[in-house]
Amino acid sequence: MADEQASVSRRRGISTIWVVPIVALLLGGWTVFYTWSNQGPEITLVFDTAEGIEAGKTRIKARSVEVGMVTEVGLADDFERVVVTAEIEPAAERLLRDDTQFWVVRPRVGAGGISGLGTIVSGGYIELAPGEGPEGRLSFVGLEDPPVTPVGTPGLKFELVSEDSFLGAGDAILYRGYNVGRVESATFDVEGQRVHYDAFIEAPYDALVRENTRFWNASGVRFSATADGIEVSAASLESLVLGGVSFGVPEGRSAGGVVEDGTSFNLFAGEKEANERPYHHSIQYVVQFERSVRGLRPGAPVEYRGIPAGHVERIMMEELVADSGGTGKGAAIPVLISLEPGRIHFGDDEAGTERLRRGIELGVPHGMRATLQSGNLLTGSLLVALDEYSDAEPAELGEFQGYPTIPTISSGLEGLQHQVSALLAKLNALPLESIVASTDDAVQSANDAVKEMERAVASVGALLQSENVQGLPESLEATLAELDRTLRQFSELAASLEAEPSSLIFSRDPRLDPEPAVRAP
Amino acid sequence: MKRTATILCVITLLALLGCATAPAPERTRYLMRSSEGTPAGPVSHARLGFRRVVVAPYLKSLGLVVETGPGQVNSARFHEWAEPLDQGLRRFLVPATAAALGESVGGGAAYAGDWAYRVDLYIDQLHGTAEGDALLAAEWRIVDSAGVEVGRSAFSKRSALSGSGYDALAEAELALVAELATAVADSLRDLPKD
Repeated sequence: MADEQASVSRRRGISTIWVVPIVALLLGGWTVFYTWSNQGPEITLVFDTAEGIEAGKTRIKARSVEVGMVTEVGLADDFERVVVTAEIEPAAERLLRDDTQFWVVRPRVGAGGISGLGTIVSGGYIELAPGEGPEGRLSFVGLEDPPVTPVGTPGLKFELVSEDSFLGAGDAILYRGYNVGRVESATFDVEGQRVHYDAFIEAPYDALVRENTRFWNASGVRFSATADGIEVSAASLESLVLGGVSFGVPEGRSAGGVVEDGTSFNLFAGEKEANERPYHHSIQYVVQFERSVRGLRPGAPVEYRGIPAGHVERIMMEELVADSGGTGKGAAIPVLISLEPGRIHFGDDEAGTERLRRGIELGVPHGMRATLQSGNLLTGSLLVALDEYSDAEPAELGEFQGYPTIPTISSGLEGLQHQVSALLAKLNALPLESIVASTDDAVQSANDAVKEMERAVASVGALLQSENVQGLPESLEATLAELDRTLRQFSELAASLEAEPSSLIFSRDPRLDPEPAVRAP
Repeated sequence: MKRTATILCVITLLALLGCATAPAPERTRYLMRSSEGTPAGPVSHARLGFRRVVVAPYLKSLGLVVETGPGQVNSARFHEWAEPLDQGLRRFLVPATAAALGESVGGGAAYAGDWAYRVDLYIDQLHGTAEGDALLAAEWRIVDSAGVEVGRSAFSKRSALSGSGYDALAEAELALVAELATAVADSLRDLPKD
């Protein structure tokens, strides 16, 4: 028996068992790499509130395509806002640009209509509006409301400025009634006391906006009753309900050059104001009226024979008080008017101004006078009318507080008003109470007379119904018959006397009546 | 003076001559009354009635008329109706017609609106003839309340006198008038009630 002895020898090399952990390590590494290499960027969004946002549930969508998921929601360090962390898919990484916008889509009811109704069932989500700026931004401030105009929409962004607030975000911008843009936002400048609107007009309509374009409020129905008459204006039904802005180039003016983004325009209260041609040259005069100037407002027209020639600046009460020694009692009311030579085609320049001035200087000695006339009988608005009156008393241009004055005369309407006032005063002075009392007495007497007459008529009616009166015709007939018979007898007597006159004294022959004889047997 | 005495003498003479003439015969007046009597008072609400009774002009005088020859009549001077003939006839006919009809008959001349029918009677002849008869000829028309004629009838009859003289003539004429009332009543009887 041979001793069998194990031969132990150290095997050189690596055990094959290591293959397993190595493979596992490789697989794990691949997995980590694959996961790392396919992970999108993580972004942070800041919102005022996290209403409708839940970590792991709220998705981020771009044009309804899911591009990310909210992973964490937390409060900001100052606790004033919320910070939402989200993971964006790698393929959507290039959507993250400097001007990319995010906002929460939830049900909304606004001027532009109702939106986000689908989120009632599916839940809210964050909408991503890709920008056009440089890539790589990972932190954004979310919008509380959806942007009126999507980023990158071709068109013109500009500013409208007005002293009053007419509009709100989302209101339409109309060109001849057609919707071409929107008001995006409105802010009030406290310092300048003006409202600034950010507006946008889509291409190709942005080309309509030029340097001389005027914008005016077209919201609702505008009703104005001035000395020019009663005006009612309204734009489209949409702007009537929701508000809006219209624009255009004033008639007779050139459109001007192209405007750039960010250009500021004045927003006028109405189309009339917007189209009002600005005149750069004017002459100011004072007209003094002895009558009430109620109804004469700043801006009221000044007309020369019905042609607009200027407007009323103001009623000079302060100057009147100062001029009359602090009372102003009994003095004519001075009204400052502005005459614009450009309005009457004298030319809106110095030459036109001088020509107008000379015309008035020559006109006044020949009867040019100012009168107050009614521009609107319904509202009582007044205007200042200049005309020439051949029978006017001689007068010259005067001066009041440094302004030249144009003489005034009473208008026909004014005289009529005086007559009406005088008539009313006379009526007022009438002893109406005693007249009414007398009238009452007269009416009472008339009533008594009528009642008396009614009683008399009733008595006559009863009399006529009485048997005696009812029998009158019969009695009358009998009387007439008797009269007829008497006349017949008188006739017979007359015939008898004619035939035998002596019968008046001597008895006629008493001839007997012929005897009716019985029928012979 | 002398002249005045002469005038007084002439007047006295004429008066004596007038008184010396023969007295006139006594007058006889006949009353036309129906044996039915007269109504107690005016009937103003009867459905039927006489509106008008008209006699021919030759009967306007009171005297009874007698035919003395062809186309000649004489109105008696001493034999008269006691009242005008048209009034006497109305007083006679109203009760006589009511009695024959069995219904109130009005006789007033005044129109009453609630009368349904009225009779206008025209007496053409009523006199004694030369042959010894009494003659009555009459006609009448019936009109409704609207004035529309609804009927027209005539009556003509002779009746021999029972004796000579005006008493027999008056008696015969009254008998004829009674027959006339019956004829008028017959013409009214068949008129509609409404």
